Amino acid sequence: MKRGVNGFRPERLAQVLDARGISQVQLAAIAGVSAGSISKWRNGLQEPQTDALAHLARAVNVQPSWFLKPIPEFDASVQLFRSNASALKSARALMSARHSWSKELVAEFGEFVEYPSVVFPQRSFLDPNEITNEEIELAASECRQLWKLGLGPIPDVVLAIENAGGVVVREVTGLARIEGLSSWCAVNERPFVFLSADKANGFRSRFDAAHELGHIVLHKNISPHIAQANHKEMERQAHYFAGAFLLPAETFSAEVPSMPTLDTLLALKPRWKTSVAAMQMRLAALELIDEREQLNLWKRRSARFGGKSEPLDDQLVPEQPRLMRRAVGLIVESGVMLREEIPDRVGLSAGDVENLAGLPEGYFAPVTSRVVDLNAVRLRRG
Amino acid sequence: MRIGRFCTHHSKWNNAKRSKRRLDVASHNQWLERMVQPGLFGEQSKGPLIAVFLVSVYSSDVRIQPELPLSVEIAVLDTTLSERLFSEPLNVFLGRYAQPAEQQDIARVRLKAAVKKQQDSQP
Repeated sequence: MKRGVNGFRPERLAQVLDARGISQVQLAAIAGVSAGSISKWRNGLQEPQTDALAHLARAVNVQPSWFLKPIPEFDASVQLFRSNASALKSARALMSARHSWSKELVAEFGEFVEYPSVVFPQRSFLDPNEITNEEIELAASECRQLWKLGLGPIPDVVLAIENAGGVVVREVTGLARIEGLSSWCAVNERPFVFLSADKANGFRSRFDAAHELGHIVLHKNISPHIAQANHKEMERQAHYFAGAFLLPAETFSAEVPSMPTLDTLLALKPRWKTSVAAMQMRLAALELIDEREQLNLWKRRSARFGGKSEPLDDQLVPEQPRLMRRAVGLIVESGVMLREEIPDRVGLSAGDVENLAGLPEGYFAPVTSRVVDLNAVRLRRG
Repeated sequence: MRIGRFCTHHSKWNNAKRSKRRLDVASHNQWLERMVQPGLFGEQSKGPLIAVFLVSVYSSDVRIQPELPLSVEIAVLDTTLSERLFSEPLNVFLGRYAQPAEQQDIARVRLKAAVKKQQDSQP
């Protein structure tokens, strides 16, 4: 009996199935092996032979050696998704796998580069039920103070998180129902935020980033089973944090007249870079409008704008992360590694690394040299 | 937007109406008048322009700060320049609009000392 490749990691196969969003049967068809073999490899009952591993790696667009790398225990906190209830389990698994890959990339690059120090407000809540709205207001205010953001509109939320040592990934996932994901990483000892770039709406993306920041600050120490039981409340708290962080009570309330209309909020939208809906929620949270006014505004908003989008939504370019892109740039520019060697070293495809690190498409494509006919040059000079 | 200015006493803003030019500027605020005090008759109009006045308000007493205004107000007046549709000291008005903080980009990476040393030692 032939023996398989020693050191094959079944958990890698499970992870790549999640990241690519394909089933065992689909992978079997692409790789040209039986579904039974895939199942045995995945469950650790058998290991693929060298040629089968090569087929497998080609089918999922990773290096064969990638299947031999153990997956470190990355999560120092529970992974919290910003999604609606109908988001599929497979969609969550896909995003979670890519979130883990971003942590792995940062750890790989971290062998050569140093990232900014981690400066986030510390909170040690163990149960979401002990977090009051006042605590959330204080945490958001402390965040602004710590990061010297003043009380006005924040120019760039993603930059604020990265300045404080957080890592942000913004990627098109094809999953409209999940807007973001965040967690603390034990290996890199810093928080990671994954934002979906599918809805190209800069206002919404800023709010998503602020929402994830809320989870990072408030829910770092919440255990998985408590998080599962209190998911709805934790989402509400992250929403509340995002509102308090983006629209501070002192300054935002001073700019809004006593009976705000949709047009008033629309006029404030470009200044605060926050959607009308988010401003309505904030006004209600600050009790600047009562329940009746809030309902009235929702009805008018729905009648005028519809449920999906608002005017000016296309007027703000989504904020782009920069930290990982800079790490790759430094590694290449300082000659630590050749540009085209990087995807091979991490074991992922060039496209995966480009997307996760926010690099331009084709960044790792080999530069084709142009052959110059010296005789022709000489003739032209003559 | 049209911007005008004038000086007046703090007790009564009676100086404004003396200028035909100012009345002309304030005529743009007709639509705002209707917004503040809607009338039963008259067409609803939307004005593309608004006239704002910067008003230096002096004390009417020479013993109290005669050289400097007590306050500088930002005011939107009606078309007859006799009613204030909006008026607020300039510092209070500006104070409500907090400036966005200047955000520095410090999300920088640097080579680890050992890697840099190794790079430097290479020919």
